[in-house]
Amino acid sequence: MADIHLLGLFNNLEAAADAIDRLHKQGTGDEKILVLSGSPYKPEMLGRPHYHGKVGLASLGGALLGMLLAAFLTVGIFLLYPLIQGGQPLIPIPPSLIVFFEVIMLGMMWAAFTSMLVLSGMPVFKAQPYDPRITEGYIGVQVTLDEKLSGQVEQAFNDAGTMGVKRQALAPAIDLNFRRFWGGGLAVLTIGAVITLLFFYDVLKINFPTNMNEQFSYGYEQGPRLAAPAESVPVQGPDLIAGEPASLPVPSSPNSLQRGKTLFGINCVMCHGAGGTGNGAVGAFFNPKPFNLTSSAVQNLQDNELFLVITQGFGVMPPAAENLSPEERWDVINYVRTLKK
Amino acid sequence: MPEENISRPSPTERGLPYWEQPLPEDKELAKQETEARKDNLLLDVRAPADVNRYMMDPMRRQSRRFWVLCVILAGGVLMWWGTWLYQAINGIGVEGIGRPVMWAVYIVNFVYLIGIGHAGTFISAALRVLKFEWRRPISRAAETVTLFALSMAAVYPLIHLGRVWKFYWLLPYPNQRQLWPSYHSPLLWDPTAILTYFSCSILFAYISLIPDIAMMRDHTTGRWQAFYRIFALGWRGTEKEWAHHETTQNVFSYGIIPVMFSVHTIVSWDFSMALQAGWHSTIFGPYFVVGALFSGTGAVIIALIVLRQTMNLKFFLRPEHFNGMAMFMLVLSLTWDYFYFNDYMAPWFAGAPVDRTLNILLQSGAYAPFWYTMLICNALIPALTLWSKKIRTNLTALFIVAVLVQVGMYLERIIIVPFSLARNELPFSWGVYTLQAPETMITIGTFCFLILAYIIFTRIFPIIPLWEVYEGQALHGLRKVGHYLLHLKSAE
Repeated sequence: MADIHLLGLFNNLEAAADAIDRLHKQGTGDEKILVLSGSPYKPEMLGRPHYHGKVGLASLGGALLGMLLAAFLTVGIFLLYPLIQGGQPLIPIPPSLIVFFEVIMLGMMWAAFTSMLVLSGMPVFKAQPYDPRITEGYIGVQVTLDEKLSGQVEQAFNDAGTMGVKRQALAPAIDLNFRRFWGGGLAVLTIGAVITLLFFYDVLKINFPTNMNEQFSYGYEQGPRLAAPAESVPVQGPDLIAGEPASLPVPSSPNSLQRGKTLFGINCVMCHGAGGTGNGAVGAFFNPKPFNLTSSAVQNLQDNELFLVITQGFGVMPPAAENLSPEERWDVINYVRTLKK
Repeated sequence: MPEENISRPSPTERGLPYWEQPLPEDKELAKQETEARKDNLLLDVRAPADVNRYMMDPMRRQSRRFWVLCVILAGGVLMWWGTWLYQAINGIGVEGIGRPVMWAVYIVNFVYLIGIGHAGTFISAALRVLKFEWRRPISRAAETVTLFALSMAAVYPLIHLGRVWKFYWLLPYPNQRQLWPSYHSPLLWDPTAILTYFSCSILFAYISLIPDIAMMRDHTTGRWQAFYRIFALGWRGTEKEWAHHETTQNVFSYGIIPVMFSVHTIVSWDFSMALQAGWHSTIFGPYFVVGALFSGTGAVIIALIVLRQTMNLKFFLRPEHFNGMAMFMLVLSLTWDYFYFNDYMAPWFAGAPVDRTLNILLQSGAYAPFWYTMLICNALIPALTLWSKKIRTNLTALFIVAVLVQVGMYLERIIIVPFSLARNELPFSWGVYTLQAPETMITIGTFCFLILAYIIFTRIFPIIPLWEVYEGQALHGLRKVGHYLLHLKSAE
């Protein structure tokens, strides 16, 4: 005779405990009895032996796996690719401890979850002896035994005050194992294949776009250079901007030339010489020599460039801004223009 | 075992189910028991068949207002995605950030949302470990806040990335340039900790959901039943399943508490590992953790009040629960005060020029309104209100306090992130941060997603862990001591 499942339903704990006692008396072993409930009761409440799960042990195993992974992340990576960071040793302990902690916890909790499913035989998709009233506070007592003995089990259930008994033939066991085997096998194969592929990326050389080589780029000092915006300040300084901050140029007039000649004699002659040719008494000691103001190199400069040189100085020439007002500087420029060859 | 001594009820006079136990015959005792039931969910025993219905009825029927809200929130989510696309195409320059304020509202949101995500775990794990019985009906609402807040928090570093499609460079795998990511950098401790915390929070929430999904499977039909059948994994509630369930929950509870502390500590290290005024502080770790729990508890209170009013959960969520949560928030507020004072006092007394500049900016400068509002919302208001049980159990008042705490804690993060960055040792590189439209829209959109995901979740999965309530109701009882009925907690 084939084994069958019998499921007796009880609406209180005492009746269920009573039914289990009666089953024990009939000689039904605890291994053939299963209690279903909508909220956790201690097995001892129903006269059932305490169940020792192995979830804790599995969590420990997961923690060890996590430790290995953490060792790879904090030690292995740095041996593969030595990257010294911020004056720390190659494998610094304090940052490694952080990663060790996180990954060990990760391994522990994931292992707890996985082992909960595996040890409970979940997920189950085949039909099982069950009644929806179990999630309404009812307690189910499931007995799996030879069909011949079903009469006495039902009797025990009834004597204990059952709310109903369900019978169910044993489902073919192959169904679940079939799925689990193939589903699990396929998953392992896929994950294995993906991981293997990842390690051959250098061989396969899939040309991922990296963006760096797709962007617009210019070679070193490659033209055309863009013009400076109109309102920007020239590198030579603000004096080159028309009208500011220098006062307006003083037009060349006999009076201006006269003043210019006097000022030239006071401020410039000692280096540039009376004729402006750069042979002044002091200038003789300088190297390089003072500029020859009559030369085309000087005379071809713009007025405002000359103004800038007088104001700011040039090379060893000191700035004359403290000694000459802007108007006086223009007088000197007018005079220098007359020195042209 | 002496069998004869065991009195066993006969079939006719067998024990009644725990939900049909009659009131005591004595009138005084009956009155006491009725009073006790009114206050205490675990004593107010009803038939689980009815309680299942209390939970499932509001899940099945949705008002038009619910759908309108869903559409509005979905619009917000689309706005977020659109703005993100705009930002990805145009570059991170559409934000208001710029030297020296390189971290701004995205990082603020990241810290704030991670903070919100702490309370869920704390309530379900720590209160479970400490055997606080009032946690039973609220633990899942809190865990769900954790789930969606964390998922949004995990998105923020990606939003903050200029080239978001390069995020996989975080994985421990050599990229095209043969570089491995450095796990010695705080920016990689972060994803590691968040991955641990987020994945374990999902599993933790799911483990506690399995028996309730089985309940949904048993009480639905058709397509929904097929849906719940998959997620129930064939749960029947056998002793073995419950035993494994219990151990797993314990492993998670004890494991996830230190992980929770580590996550926000590591978030604080993103700041305190840098030599930046206002950041480089040894107290930042615990200070951030307390701040996170503080704002998270406030957020859970807000969620619970809204759930109670909109889903008609008055049976499950009673004044005792809000009282407990509010007391908890008060304790956290005082702890926050203590840590903030620590964080404030040392730089103030040392008086380094840059710290003094920052303090002046906060206390009498342009940022003073923010600083004072933060102190009022985080320290003053909870301390002035939550000592009173009347306020703790008055949902309107408690809601307002909880919202103000959110405002205060959000401002705290703004003060820490962009405001601290605006001042440093070199005055030539001081700067000002101005919020721009894309940041605002992305922020609003992610909060829309958070709320949308939450309300949809509450309509698909029971937001009250019913099996925990049944466990509590079956194991709690009243015991007569003299003329008084004493609340007897579970046999554990």
